[in-house]
Amino acid sequence: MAEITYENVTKVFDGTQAVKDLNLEIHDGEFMVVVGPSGCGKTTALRMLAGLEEVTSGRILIDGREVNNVEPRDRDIAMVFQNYALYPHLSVYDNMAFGLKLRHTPKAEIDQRVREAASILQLDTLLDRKPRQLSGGQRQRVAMGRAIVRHPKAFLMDEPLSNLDAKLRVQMRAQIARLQRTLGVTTVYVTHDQVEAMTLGDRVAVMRSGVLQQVARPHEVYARPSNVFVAGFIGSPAMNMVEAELRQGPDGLRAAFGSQAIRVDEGELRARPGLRAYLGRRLILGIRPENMEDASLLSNADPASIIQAKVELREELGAEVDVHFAVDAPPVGVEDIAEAIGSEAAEARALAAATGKEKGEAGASTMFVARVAAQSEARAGQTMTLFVDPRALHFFDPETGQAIT
Amino acid sequence: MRGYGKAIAVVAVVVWSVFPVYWALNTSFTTTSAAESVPAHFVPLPFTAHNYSTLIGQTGTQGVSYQFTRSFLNATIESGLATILTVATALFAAYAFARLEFRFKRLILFGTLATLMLPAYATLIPLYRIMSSVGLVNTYPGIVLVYSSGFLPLAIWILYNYFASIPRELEEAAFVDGATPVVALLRVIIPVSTPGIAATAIIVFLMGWAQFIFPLVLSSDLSTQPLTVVVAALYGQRIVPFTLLNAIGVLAAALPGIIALALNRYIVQGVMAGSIK
Repeated sequence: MAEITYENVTKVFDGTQAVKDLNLEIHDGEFMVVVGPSGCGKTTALRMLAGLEEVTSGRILIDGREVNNVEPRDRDIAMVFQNYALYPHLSVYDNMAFGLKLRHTPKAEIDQRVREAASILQLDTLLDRKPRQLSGGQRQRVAMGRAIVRHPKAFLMDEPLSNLDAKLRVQMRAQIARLQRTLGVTTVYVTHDQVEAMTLGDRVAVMRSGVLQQVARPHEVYARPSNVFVAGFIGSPAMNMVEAELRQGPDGLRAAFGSQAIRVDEGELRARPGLRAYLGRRLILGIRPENMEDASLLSNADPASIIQAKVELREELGAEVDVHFAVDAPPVGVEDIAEAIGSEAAEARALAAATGKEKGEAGASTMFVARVAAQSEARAGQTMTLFVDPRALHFFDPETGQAIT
Repeated sequence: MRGYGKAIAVVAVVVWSVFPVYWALNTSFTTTSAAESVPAHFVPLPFTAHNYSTLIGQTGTQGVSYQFTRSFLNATIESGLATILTVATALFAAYAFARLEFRFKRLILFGTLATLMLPAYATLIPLYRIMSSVGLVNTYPGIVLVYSSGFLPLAIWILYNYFASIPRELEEAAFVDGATPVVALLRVIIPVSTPGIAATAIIVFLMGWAQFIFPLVLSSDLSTQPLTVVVAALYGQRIVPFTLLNAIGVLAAALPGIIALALNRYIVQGVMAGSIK
């Protein structure tokens, strides 16, 4: 077990900065998930920790010892690769025993450790098989086993579940979580999947374009995203964002966008003293789809928290319903959001907004998604009323994209 | 029509390449008079294994039999040792080219490859002078060294491409597991490269087995002369019947054939299966 520290770590590949001035502390026994879109530098950060990539500047410390110039073999870490990288010519047993043999561990101990790991991972009956005789899930478990038997200071995992099918991924995710809790080994886990990040991490580090955006507990990243990028990246469907104006209403502040206005909760205002300064100014308003509800299902919804929505699409999810509708306010043109929700999704939104315009709706429009209860009767083409939770609004500065605090 | 044309073309190519081999086999199992008769006999009648018994199983250090067995042995030793030396050297060189970063890497790699474009006789005389000055003319080590120097570029190129196709994660996993680069090469890369290594070994052995010009110059007597040189001499003397020469040819083709078959089981696809994904 170990503490891991990135100190001002920068990595430059052929003139481009893959990781920029990364500062991150991972506590002893902690499960740290590094998440971000592809090309954000998360894998490079992990490979530098493993010693597979040189650090351009800055320091990486494992248990207080600088390891910048330490060979991977001397760092006492174990790594699970995205493609598993099993030794194809060795049996499952020998794949797991390989590292221990190289370290001249006594035969009896190797045997004990391999069998122990095999039983944890339910590989007991497969020890004599070659990797080619295994299914994807089994190979993934062998890759995990190879890391476990070493009893290393830290586990490094590079998208270990991305090659599994959806169902198996959920199972393995739970298994990895259990395993890490049981073994208590410091773990750095890299993924582009925000669900994995939320479910696995003690803390989540969100990266974008080589820059660390936010490090916090999963719930905090979700509830208090530090900027529009994190806000758009964490959560699915992505947070709705729109240009809005903060106005003084009859009984408190209102966030107005297009022809709509919703109440800003007093408590929220106290929690974000910086918000007052935006009175009468533009800002970015964020509303998560799950923080809206079909107002007709609520008995006493505050009229100041209700917006009108003309439903364009109803998506049945079983337990819930996703309702798509246009809002007559300009979309947030920040590139941060496109990257966070994926450029295809951003294009789809822009396209939807454009078709909305063609239909004769005046001015710019933004597509919103609301996740409402399955009982909702809303149908495409109808106008519905939506309740927006005033305690779950997000505000960002339109220039910097930073959360207003 | 296209189908027929294709079939005729295939048959023509097969006949063109297989017929000489068949003819050598055919005449090696018959008598000189039958082999020279007109019209030709397309089956070995009358059948005789006399040519083979003349070559194999005779004792003494005189005559065709001794010339054959000794030169066969020489060719085997020279090609075999050259194969081992070439492949062993090429493994390390190819691994370095495929995985390590060093100055002028591409220049050195392509410079090495460029030597393949030199005609062999361009280096023949200089190599003879060098071997002569170090006293290695007409010795096994001399011939093996000259062969290896000639075969290395191709062997390095084949293995370089093979290594380059192996995912880096495999070595990286080994590094994290505690391996040095040499250990990773010996315990991971080489074992998963057996198909490439076997193919290289076969090609190098065949190139050695077919050498003529270099041993013609570097070998002065039967202590090191390989089969090719001796057969050419026998043919030139016009005293050995050509049915016997054909029997020598058949036997000369047999050994590389057996080696290729033996190594063939390593040249199977799917050695890498299961490693990735």
